Amino acid sequence: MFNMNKKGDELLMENIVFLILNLVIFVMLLVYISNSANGRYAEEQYYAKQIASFIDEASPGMVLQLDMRDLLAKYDKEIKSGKIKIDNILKIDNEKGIVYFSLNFQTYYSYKFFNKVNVTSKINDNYLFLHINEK
Amino acid sequence: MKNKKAIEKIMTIWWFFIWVIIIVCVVINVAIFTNREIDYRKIDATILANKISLCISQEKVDLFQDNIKEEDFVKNCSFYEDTFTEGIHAAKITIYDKSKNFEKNLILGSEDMFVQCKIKEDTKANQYPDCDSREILIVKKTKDYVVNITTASNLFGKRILAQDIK
Repeated sequence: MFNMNKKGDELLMENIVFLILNLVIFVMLLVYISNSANGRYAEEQYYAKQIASFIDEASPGMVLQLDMRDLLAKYDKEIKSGKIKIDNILKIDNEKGIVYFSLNFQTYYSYKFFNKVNVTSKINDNYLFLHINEK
Repeated sequence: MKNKKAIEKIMTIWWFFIWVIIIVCVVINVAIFTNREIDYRKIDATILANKISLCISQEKVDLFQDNIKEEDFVKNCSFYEDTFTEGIHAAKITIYDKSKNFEKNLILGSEDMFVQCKIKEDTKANQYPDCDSREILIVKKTKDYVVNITTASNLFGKRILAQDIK
């Protein structure tokens, strides 16, 4: 009787582990497909490249203003729930000249710019402000 | 009974491999259809040509100076030091007078990129850079000179993990 229960327990454990593994893999897959299907990765790429090209064309003293109303409205739920932190959407590395853009919490899309300037960024009232200063 | 249990274990491993194969196929297909690179190389080459022509017209660099080097352009036109050294960007500047008595060439970065641009025009080889070309007119000591600027870009972005950013 005891032996049978032990066997049953082992079988149950194996099945539970197998099910959990499958669930984890499927959730990861669904997150990946959902991110790809709603254009999140394409939008990250598009904005990173747009911002880098704005910086490349800018001169010190300029303030560039980019309308991000549509983008922020699309991800409003995630921004309000704290999944996407508005301060972390855009990062600019002025030492190497790289723009990083992210609409998820795991990866960033990075793109280089060649104009050696000092850029500070701030998202305020649905607009992205880029202050271009001399380096 | 023992055999049945062994078969069940083998089946579990087998099923796991089937799942892995299915998932890898789905990920590859989704990646192919959704993660296509937006090709910005032509725009990048145009912006680079704009910046160089603006720098020349604002006389931040003197093209008539002897021994003018890549470093002069990088420093005076506010480029990052690695702009022309990584094989991603290149620029070819040719200055001549209309009678062709005077001609001077300057190459920033790798000259191979311009050859690759020509090949791309004929073969549509996507891995090769895109180029942009323009001419500006400058006047020096009442004499007209034509400056031909050709730029090349093979810049792609990349995806990186959030924790890899400082």
